[in-house]
Formats: sequence, structure tokens, C-alpha cells
Amino acid sequence: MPDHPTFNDLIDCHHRPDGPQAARWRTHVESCPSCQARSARMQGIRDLLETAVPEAGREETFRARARFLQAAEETSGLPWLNRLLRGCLRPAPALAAGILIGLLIWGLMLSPTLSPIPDPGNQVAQSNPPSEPTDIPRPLSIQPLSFKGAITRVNPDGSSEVVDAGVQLSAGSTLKMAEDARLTTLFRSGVEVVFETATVQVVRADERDILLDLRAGVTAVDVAPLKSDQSLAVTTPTHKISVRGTRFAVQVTPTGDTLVGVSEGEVLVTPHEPDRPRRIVQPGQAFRFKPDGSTEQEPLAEWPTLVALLAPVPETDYTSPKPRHTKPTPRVAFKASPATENSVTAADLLAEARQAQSGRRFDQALALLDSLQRRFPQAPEAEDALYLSAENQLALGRLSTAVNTLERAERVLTRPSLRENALYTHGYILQDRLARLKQARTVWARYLAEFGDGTLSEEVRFALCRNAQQSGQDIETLHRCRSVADRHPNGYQAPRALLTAADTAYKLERYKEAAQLYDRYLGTGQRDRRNDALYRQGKSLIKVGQSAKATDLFKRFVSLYPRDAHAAEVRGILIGLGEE
Amino acid sequence: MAFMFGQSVASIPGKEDPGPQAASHHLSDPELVARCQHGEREALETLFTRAYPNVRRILIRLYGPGPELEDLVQSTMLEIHRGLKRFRGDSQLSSWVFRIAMNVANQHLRRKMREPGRVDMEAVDAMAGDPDALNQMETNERLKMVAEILQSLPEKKRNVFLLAELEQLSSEQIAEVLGCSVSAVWSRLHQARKLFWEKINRHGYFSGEENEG
Repeated sequence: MPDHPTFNDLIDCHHRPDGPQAARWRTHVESCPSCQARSARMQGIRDLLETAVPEAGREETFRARARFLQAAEETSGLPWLNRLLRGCLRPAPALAAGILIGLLIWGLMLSPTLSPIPDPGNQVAQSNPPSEPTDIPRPLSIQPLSFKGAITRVNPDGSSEVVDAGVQLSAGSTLKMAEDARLTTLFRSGVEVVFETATVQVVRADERDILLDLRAGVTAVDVAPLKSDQSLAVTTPTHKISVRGTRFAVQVTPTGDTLVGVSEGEVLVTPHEPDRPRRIVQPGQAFRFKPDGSTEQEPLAEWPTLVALLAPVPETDYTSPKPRHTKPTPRVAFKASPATENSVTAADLLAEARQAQSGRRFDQALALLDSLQRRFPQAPEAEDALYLSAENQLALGRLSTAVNTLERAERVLTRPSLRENALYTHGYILQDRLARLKQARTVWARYLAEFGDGTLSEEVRFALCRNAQQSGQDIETLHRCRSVADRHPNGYQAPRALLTAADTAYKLERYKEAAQLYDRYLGTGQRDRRNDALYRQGKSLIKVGQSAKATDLFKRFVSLYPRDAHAAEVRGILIGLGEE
Repeated sequence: MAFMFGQSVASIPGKEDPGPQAASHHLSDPELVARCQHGEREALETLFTRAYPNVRRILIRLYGPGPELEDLVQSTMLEIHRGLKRFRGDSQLSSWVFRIAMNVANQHLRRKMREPGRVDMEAVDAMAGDPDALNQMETNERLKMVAEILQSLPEKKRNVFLLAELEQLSSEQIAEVLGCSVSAVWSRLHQARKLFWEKINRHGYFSGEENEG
């Protein structure tokens, strides 16, 4: 029986504390300081394995849930159509479908029995009856963009839940918000609504019709011009406020008054009592509608809550070092009224979007960039916005959308630096995120054709090297990695390119080349896989008959890595060479 | 051995199943899947809440915390959604979810080239002066080290090791997740443990040697 347990004995002791090995060695381990230390280190690793992993942040969970539910929503519409389209994108079904359609058309054209010439007098009788409208509006999902304070969602069945990251709102939901609570939501159709200390029910929310019932508190709405068949309205206990493309806020006071302030466009306020007059509220106006039917116009500036929601953010805030959340208004503030059109510029929006992006508020950044592109399509910043949109989509994991954006960016961007970034990001997503190697190669080729020695050219060339490696093209890998190391000898990727090239040459049994490449790699001073490089360089040198040099390398290897997996083999080789 | 989906989280000490407050929270696995297959949003939310922590935990064990983790977790959740229609209830829902997570992870690992680890200096700067954040970062770094060693294990051994040592599943549960026999689980687990500790040992963890100085 040996004096100390072997390493394998200790493993058994740890994993099977009730096993025979544990019983055999327990007393020894308890009394032997050396074994005790090894056992304690082993326990340290086991503790690490059992450590609870860091929990996901609220935003991370939110994004994952939103993407998951979005996928469910997208596939729930017309699954058979999705399947058909997916099938048609594959070559074989597409070819079969094409042939079938071709044959059908050909048959219809040739066969008079299949396509009788219609009798004009009979046309009406033969025509199909008008079909029922099939474009039933789909319900919209409502995404909370940001929130603060305690907010409860009361479901139609009476159950309630706290609005938190990822909680989706839908028609029928009633929100109850505590004092100072605020919720910014984005309806799928692009309407943004801010609720503040409100009790409000989402009565309807579909592609055509949004109806909110505000019972208390404030609701501010930012809506792009609606189509002719769309409508948006907010009802209060006494009035209905209808809009068609505007920015406005409504407040229900504790006394039951309805305050309506308009910043852009017009709203129509209709009392629930049919005999009372309706009123149009113009931009810059504010009215108080009392329950008794009387109406008073008041200066908008006297209603701080509405003003805070409607007013643009002061220009100084853009350069303020304060965190974004300290600003008084969310995105709604950037939808400037005609009177303040000049106060918000494309540069402001871009700066704000960059700030949101750096704060990892990607959804908000996307909304700002979208607004910039819509409002200032000709501004130079619109190009930045297009590229940055792709970056934010990438950050949100919307890879296909990012690819589409980048394809568009490559068509329309004129500024070289942006074009270069767009091409690089496009290639990166295709290769490293979607594993579409062939498509990535095409993008890399376009990059090199346009920016042969651009700032990202080294990364692109190394990406091509990895692309070849992942495609299993060894010769191509060797060639491309050598190219990276030769073109960018002092570059960041040069050591990795050299090591990859050396490994590939070794795999291809090009030992002379492999030895040279390993030598160059070791000369870079990199530590990553240095043991492998030394070992393989020595083996390569032996293969090409340079035993003396190989002996020196192997001696160095054994002294540096005496416990390496290849150490025993190398010692054997050295003995064979008469050295040990 | 049957084990309810969601219970696997609660059964591990220190891990709480957050669980939604929705009405579908108390549904059994078959009921939940049936509702999800009909596209019921509430059921999908419940499925997400039950599956997400498990998926994330297993992937964080394999990859360590990092920028690609979130994308992988989301991809796995999308795979789960895509696969829902094919789920026939032949196995436990939790086993099925684990299997998808393992498949996505293994597929990604096969594609992934080993890249040298980089320290996110911006994150370090941001955390300076915040002991909790620095402790968290140290834990993250150690998790990454273990993740690297796990990644270097052969696929079948790694799968068994991960489910047994980290997820604390029984051999029967592992056999169900991986679709192999219990004896194969034991055999692979024995080899995986040995290999894992050998690699830890080779890392110089026990001797502190093998540094080039």
C-alpha cells in the first residue's frame, strides 16, 4: 500500500465520499498536511462548480423574453404560408413548384376546354360573389420601453401582476400606477405612449384602432400621421379625444376635469354627452373640460405635468454628464412641434442615440435613430443613423434584421468610414454569428475590393483565414494565414495567424514550413499554446532531419513543461537521440 | 425517474424558480405544451419563465459570462419555440429543454475557434471602487476558467459531466436527456471526472508549476 493516495484516489474520494476509496484514505488525508492541501484545493474547484451562476439582469431577461414572444407572434399569423415560403426558398421544392406552375399555365393556354372564352353577357352571373373581407386587424403587442415606480397590470380575468421587465401588455389590460410612477410604452404600430401616475385601460389595440380609457393621471401620446383607416383615441370619464397624427397629453384631475394640451397636430375633443359641443384643440393650446360641460382655455405653461411630457429636452441636456434617466422626458420629447422644429437637430438625435447605445438602452437608441432617419432623411447624420441601427439590432440579437439593414447600408451609404464599418459588421454577423461562411466570404471580398488596406483590413484577412479553416480548406487556410502574418507582421492578429498557419502546415505534413512558422510564432513572445508550438516545432525538425536543433528545443520543452501531456514522449525521444 | 419541469431549478440549493404570476403557472408540463402549441401567449410566457433560467445556467457553465452568452441563450430559446410543435411528450419537458440547450451549445462549440481571453478593461474601470462588482468579476473569471476546461472535454463526456456535476441531475435523468443508457452515463461520468481533474492538474492548479517564468 503506497504512502499517499494517488491523484485518482483523491478524485474517487471527492466524488464518492461513501465509496471504498474514501474509507480507505480518510484517516490518512486527515493527518497528512500535503494530502490535506491537495484535497482542499480540489474542494475549492468543486465549490466553484457549485457556485450559483450570476443571475441575468432585468434588461437581459427582458430582451430574451421579448425575442421569444416576438418569434411566437410572428409564427402564429400564417404558419402554412411561412412553411410554404420556407419551402420555396429551398432549391428542390422551388424547382418542382416552378415546373408544376409552368405546366399548369401551358395546359391552360393550349386546352380550350380548360379556358373557355367567357360570354360577355354571362360574365356577371359567372363571377364569384364578393368575398368577405379577410383583413381582420391583428392585435398589437405593447412593449414597455422604460418604467419607474410601482405599476400593476390588472388582467381582464381580475388577476393582477407587477409590471416588470418583459411583461407584455395587451388589449384589456388595466394599469394602476403609484404616485410618481411612469411607464413608456411602444405599440407595435409605432405609437409611443407615456403614462404617468395613471389608472388607464387599454380598451383596444390593433393595427387599425387604439383606444385608451384614462380614469386618472396623465397620458401623453406621440403618434406619426395615421393612415385613413386608422384611429387613435383617449377617453376620459367625460370626453373622448380623437387624433390623427399628433403629439398631445391628457390628464384627468382628482376633481374629474379633463385637461388636454397639444404640442403638434390637432385633436378633436368630443364630450360623452351628445348635446354638448365638440372642440378642436390646436398646437400650443390647452383646455380644461369640466364635468358640468363648461370649457376653459388655459395657458399650457401652467400645467407642469403636461408641459414636462410635451416640451423638448433643453439643448444643454445633450452635453450634460448626468445619466440619461435623470432627464425629465423620454423619447416623446424629441418629437418637436412646428414651433420648436429648429431646436432639435439631427445631430442632437444622433448624440442622444449614441448615448442610449453606450448605456445599453438599445431599443431606445433604435427608436431615436429611426426618428432621425424619418425626420432628417437628407441630413448627413441619417447615414450614421442607418449604420448605428444595424449595430443596435446586432446588440439586441436581431441578426437577420441587422443583416437586412447592412445590405441596405451598403447600397446607400456614401461616407467611406461608414461603408467600411458596415461591410465589416455585415461579414462579422454572417460568419461569426450566423455561420454563413460562403456569404461571409463574398462580403469580405467586397470589403477587400473597396478598402484593400483599410483600417479593418487585417481583421478581414484574418476572418477569411478563419473562414477557410471552418470550411475545412487547409491549403486555403495556410495561404490566407501566411498572408495575414506577412502583410501585417506587427498586427494584433499576426501571432494567431502564424499559429494557425503552423498548425495547418503540420497537419498537412509540410514539416519544413511548419517548423519555420512555429519558429516565427515563438518569436512573437506570445504565451498561448506555447508548449504545443515548442513540441510540434521539435517534431517537425526531426521529420526534416534537423535533429540537433530539435534536441535543443525538446530540452527546453522538458524543462519548461515537465508535466505536459507530451513530456514523457519527448523524454523518450531525447533518450532515443542519446541525450538523457 | 420522473421530474417535473421547473422543479429541477428549485431542487438545486440556492436556486429559486422565479415563476410567473400568470394563471398558467400551475399547469402541468403536457398541459403547458399543449397550450403553447396553440399559441397561447400566457402559456408561452410561462414556458419562457420556466425554461429560461435552466437554459441560461447551463450555457453560462459552458461558456462563462460573456458577450456571446446572451445571443446563445436567445438562440436556444428560439430553438425551443421552433421545436414546440414537434414535441410529442415522449420525454419530460425539462429533459427536452436540456437536450436542446446541449445541442445548441455543442453545435456552437464545434464552430467556435478558440480565441485568447481578453479582459474587458472598460468593465474593470467601471467596477473600480465597487467591491461587490469586483468580486462578481472574479467569480466570472473563475467561471470562465472552468468553462474553458469544460469546453476542452470530449463532447459526450462533457455533456454527462455538466448535467451530473453542475446541474446535479441523477443518472436516470441524464440518460433521458442524452438518450443513452444509465450504464453509459456512469462510464462517461467516470472518464469525464478523471479527464477534468487531469486538465485542472495540468493547468498547474495543484502544483503552481509549469509557468515559463
